[in-house]
Amino acid sequence: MTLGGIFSYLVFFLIFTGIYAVMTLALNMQRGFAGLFNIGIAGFWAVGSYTSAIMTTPPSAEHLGGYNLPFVLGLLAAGLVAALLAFLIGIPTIKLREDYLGIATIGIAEIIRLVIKNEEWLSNGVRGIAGIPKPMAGFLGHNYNIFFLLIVVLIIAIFFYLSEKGINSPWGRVLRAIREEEEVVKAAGKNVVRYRMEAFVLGAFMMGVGGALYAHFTSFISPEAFKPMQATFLVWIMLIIGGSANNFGSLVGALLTWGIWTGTEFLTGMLPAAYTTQASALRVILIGVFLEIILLSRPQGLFGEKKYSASSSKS
Amino acid sequence: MFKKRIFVVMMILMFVSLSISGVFAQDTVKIGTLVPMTGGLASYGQFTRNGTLLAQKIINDQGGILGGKKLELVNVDTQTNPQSGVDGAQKLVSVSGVNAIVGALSSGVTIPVAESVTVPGEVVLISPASTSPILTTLDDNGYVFRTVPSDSLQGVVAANLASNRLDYDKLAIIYVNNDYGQGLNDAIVEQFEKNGGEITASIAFEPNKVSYRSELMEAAKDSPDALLLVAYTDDGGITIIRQALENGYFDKFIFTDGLKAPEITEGVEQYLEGMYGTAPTSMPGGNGPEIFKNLYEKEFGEIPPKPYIDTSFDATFVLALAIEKAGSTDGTAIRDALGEVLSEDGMVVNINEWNKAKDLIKAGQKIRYEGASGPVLFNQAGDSMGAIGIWKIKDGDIVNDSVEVQ
Repeated sequence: MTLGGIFSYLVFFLIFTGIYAVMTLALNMQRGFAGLFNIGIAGFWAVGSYTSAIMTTPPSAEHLGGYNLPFVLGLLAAGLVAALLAFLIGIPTIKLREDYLGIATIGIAEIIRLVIKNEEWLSNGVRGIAGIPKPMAGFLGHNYNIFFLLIVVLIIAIFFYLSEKGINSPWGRVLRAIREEEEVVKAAGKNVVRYRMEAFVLGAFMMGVGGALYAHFTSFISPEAFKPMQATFLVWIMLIIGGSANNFGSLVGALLTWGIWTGTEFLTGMLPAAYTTQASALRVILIGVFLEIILLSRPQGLFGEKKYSASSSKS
Repeated sequence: MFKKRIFVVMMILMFVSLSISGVFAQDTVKIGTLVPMTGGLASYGQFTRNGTLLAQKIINDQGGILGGKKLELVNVDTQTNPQSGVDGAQKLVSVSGVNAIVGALSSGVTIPVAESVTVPGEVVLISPASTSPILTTLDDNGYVFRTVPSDSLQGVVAANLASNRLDYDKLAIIYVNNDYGQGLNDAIVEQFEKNGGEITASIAFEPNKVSYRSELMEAAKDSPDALLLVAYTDDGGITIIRQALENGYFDKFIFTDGLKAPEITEGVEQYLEGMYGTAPTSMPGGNGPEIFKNLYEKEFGEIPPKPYIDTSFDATFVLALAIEKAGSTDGTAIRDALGEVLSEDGMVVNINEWNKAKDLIKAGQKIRYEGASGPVLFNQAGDSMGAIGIWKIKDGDIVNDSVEVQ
């Protein structure tokens, strides 16, 4: 173990945390501010990943297209397609109350996963898409991950800024009011459905971009990557740990949760080699215990809802 | 401030564990094992891990590696999932500092690990179980190998078995809907049609359903001569066989390697008597598999219960050979040595002859490694060249029938 090794793992760790942080920010937009119960994150993640993969890979007979477009266009397309999908899903479902929307979204995420798994012309089916290009990989060599981390940080910064800006505006106040009491907002003459739809679509856009980042970082995607555990519920845990309706909390939640998820491996790794099988199972238990401790001691999450006052947004 | 305390305690725990694992590090030669201990393939991961441990034991009992150092295996769990698998691989490379890894099992984990961690990090990766054809064409600078043949080999043999030996003209295929099933199915269809046969149905099934009657009904529609079933015993394969027999959809079957297990005949011996199947196997001549079975039984008290244990053993052993040949644990040196040390017409080394292998390497000789899964030889793409065995159900037991060398 060398210092350089730890540093390179740290960079890697932060990239993964960052990708999850994008997802958590997106979910915070939907759940934290607008109260939308989306448990179909995996679906939007997958759509973003596949869109960007199809846009940026060279032409291929194995899946749709291969349009060889630059990375930035891939990211953008991923966000737009995910947003469009959210819009289409939203038309019949966005009026549903909390838990009903949850059921609808989880169903849709599964449908998306099965479509990807079975429609070979589109996604190469269970084989997945390989060789998704990493931007500028040719020039940067060994320190590539640092560059990728910068991209991820930049995207988080943009989303964070826009999200804060939006939530401090009158638009954001309406969203939070809808979350608290829909009827009152209706009585005030606001189009509730429109606001909810906007939050849903914006969140989906961010999820699509996050999915694209994941695809470019790992260079390979297959339906295996979009199972509900890692792609949906982990993001929910991050949001809950960090504190709902708090963008900064979302970032810390992602960091802490992914830290526990991977860090427990170092703890159980200290057990003698003979206990490897048990160590892995123990690790899963430890993850549960750590998360349980946080949730019991801080039910509102580490940070809880940020106070957004009307005066802070006079503009 | 309770939250702060928890946070601080966690951070401290993490760093303590990091530094402790550093302090106790001895001068060993490390190979990483990246196998699923939890998640969907956990039942395979535990046993493949045993395969690597057995190789480690043989090497360390016979004087270790690189002039007497102990071989150390560092294991990380993939949770059968690409996100955790990629993270685990990066831990092995960065934190544990390994330059050679055995793993992962499913292609859905192996490929992203290769693309995002091991190839850019110049680390040699040998998968003992990923059969996806994508691995062959991966742009990997030669850092990715596998000790299991690509699906396409077995598909060709299974199709030839059906058309040449069994004289079937019409065949229905039911396969498990993952990259393994898909790959085999494609290869079988291609070869069987080339032989002039007709595939009446080729149906993917989702694992672990209660009933497969609708799939079976569809497969039986155009009255094919037999059903070729690509499945594992524990994901629905057994259910499909039972339901096909119960409802009289099929009475003739051809099986593939995932079903080469005694469970498939239990209770239905008389109906499956004389059926054939295929499975990757050892090249004729060597007795590696026999030795491996005995050694494994002695060490773990049972005969190897799952596939890919032997290939995991071989992956570990050839990595050790390459490290010894390279004289260092540098990834590029290991990669190059893997190409140099193994040769079809080299001196024969059995799986329990680590000492002999070291002497041969010192003398600059090439080695023909008679591995636990047969002689291990890599082609240009890093794929193992293998043989496919044909097996048969006889008196309710599975017996090996003949071997097709590719």
